Amino acid sequence: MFELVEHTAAINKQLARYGVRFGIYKNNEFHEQLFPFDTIPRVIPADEFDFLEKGLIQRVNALNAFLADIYSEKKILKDGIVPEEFVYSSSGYLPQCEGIVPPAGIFSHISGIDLVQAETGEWYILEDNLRIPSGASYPLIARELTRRVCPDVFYVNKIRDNRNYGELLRETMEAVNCGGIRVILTPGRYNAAFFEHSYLAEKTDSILAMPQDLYVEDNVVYYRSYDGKPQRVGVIYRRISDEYLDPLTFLPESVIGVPHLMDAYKAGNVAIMNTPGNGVADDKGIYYFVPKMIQYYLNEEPILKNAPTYLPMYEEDKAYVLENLEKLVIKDVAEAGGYGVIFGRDLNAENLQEMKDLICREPRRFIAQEIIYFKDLTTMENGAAVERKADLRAFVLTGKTTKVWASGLTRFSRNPESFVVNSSQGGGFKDTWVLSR
Amino acid sequence: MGAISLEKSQQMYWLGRYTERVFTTLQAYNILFDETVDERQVLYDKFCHAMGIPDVYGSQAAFFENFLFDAKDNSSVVSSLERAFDNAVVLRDEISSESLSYIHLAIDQMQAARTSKERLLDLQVVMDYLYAFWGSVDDRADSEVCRNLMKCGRYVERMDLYVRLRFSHAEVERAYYKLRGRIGKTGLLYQEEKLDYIGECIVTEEALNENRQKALSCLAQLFS
Repeated sequence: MFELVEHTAAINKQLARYGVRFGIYKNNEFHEQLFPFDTIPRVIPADEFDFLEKGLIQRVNALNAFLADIYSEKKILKDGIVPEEFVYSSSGYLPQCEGIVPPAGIFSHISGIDLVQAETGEWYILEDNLRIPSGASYPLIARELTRRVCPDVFYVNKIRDNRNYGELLRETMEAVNCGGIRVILTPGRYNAAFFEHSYLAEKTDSILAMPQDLYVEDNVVYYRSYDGKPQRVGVIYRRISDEYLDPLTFLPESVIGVPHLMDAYKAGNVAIMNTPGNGVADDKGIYYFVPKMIQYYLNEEPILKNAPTYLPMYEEDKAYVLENLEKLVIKDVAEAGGYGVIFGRDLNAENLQEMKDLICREPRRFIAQEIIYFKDLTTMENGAAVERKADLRAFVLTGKTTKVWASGLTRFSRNPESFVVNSSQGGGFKDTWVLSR
Repeated sequence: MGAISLEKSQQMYWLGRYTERVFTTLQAYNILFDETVDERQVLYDKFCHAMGIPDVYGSQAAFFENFLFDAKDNSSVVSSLERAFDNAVVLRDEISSESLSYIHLAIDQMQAARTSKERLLDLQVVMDYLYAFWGSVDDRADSEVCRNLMKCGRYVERMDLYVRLRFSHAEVERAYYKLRGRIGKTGLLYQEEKLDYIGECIVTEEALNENRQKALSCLAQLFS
């Protein structure tokens, strides 16, 4: 696979040609950046992927069961497995979604599960993304282009083809389609992930729609067609945050969104994927309870492990965190995208004390985790092979069944000192090869 | 899936117009530039006047540089190319990634031409990419509406520029009949009498020379 390295420039040129970019805002200005691609892939052997696949399916099925329960009977709260305050104080919990049963009972259709492999080789779940996880399009198009440049590498290595993501996504959309066209709803071209929105619309043969293209009449969603003949919409893969989906239900001051969309959804006339309100299950605090959910809903032992996590709202955990802060990583549960992540070892004595005071004042705001020493991946930098931290976002799709895409987005840090791999913080990406034997 | 929103229909139309504008102004630029081989000084200000754009350049050298590459100049070729991109990038699902890639290539090539020692040859490649783009859309866009709207935009822009820049009568006439044949297929509401009148304005070379402004005025009011 190292034969790919000499083609790095050619492949990145191809990626630029196809507009593989992500947007970031700096000083209130929108900039589009190329997402640096490293040709050396992450390679997952077949048996290791089989193990991950089982664990990921199990986890996502439990998370779906949790969401179904939280917005209906709340048995898990009544049985004291998850403390109520963790649910009701979560910004991802939306009371407006209480009692709504989504089409086919599926809440998280596309789950982006972030994993890391420790130096020991053991995999840990780092976080669950059940709202609008992005990133599948990057390895998808990178594979397409890399195959053109180095066909022999793919022939020799027997890699599972990942180019079926569009098909898997379309199947997932069709599994919940309430009768109508498929739409991918984007806030617009200045969204950070607009490339992905438009690319997935192409790959799933769906309509790429902006909020103003949709309207609701008699609890049915229509696409505003230029010829005056409205098209009924059966499923919306929305890439807009919950709070901007419908100004009449969520943020009234929002100028985007589709008025009455939630009414159509409640009436069962349209599927929204992922379902609004999923944020309650991918909250960094709720993460702690996912292994318990697996035991509770599936009566199984968790196959994949969480990173060892402490919740300062529990006195015992708080005492441990305060005692060991310098060797832990602290995460603000309200932040995402690599922001709000603080390594205790990077703080001086004064800042360490400030952090401890903050944790004591707002224990629900933070979680603390043992630092997982990631297995470094070889990456090319200025013509030299270097070792860099990397994670893996696996994509798990739930339609008629739950399936794991045999690939994933491997993001790596370009800063040798950093564990933060997010593209918004300067990281690059790799393809993820799953071997077929 | 067949449905096209009003906004997308407009984007297709303007994508056609902007790509044609880049192509045709590059053609005209080549002709003007060629005249400097013999004349050294050409009347670039007349070119600006004919195009209907302000002469903000101040000198021939500035014109030949900035009319191509100044992104802050709304009349420049690169500005038109960027506007083409703005419309194309939101139409990926309709025109295909492959087609969109030719616009990316044209933009990159335009940047390369700026520092090239063989500028006109590099600009020729920009035009080649636009040909490839149009061909790709024609071949790959499933929606006939999409193809018709884009072509209609192209032919409106072509008519406008050909009349302004005094392309030959035969070329203007050919552009007119292409527009005439396409506009009815778009489903757009347009003023048929204006289209007919444009035909009268260009019926002969003499008529064209006498009625350029009238033809342009009717063209501008075609969809009003």
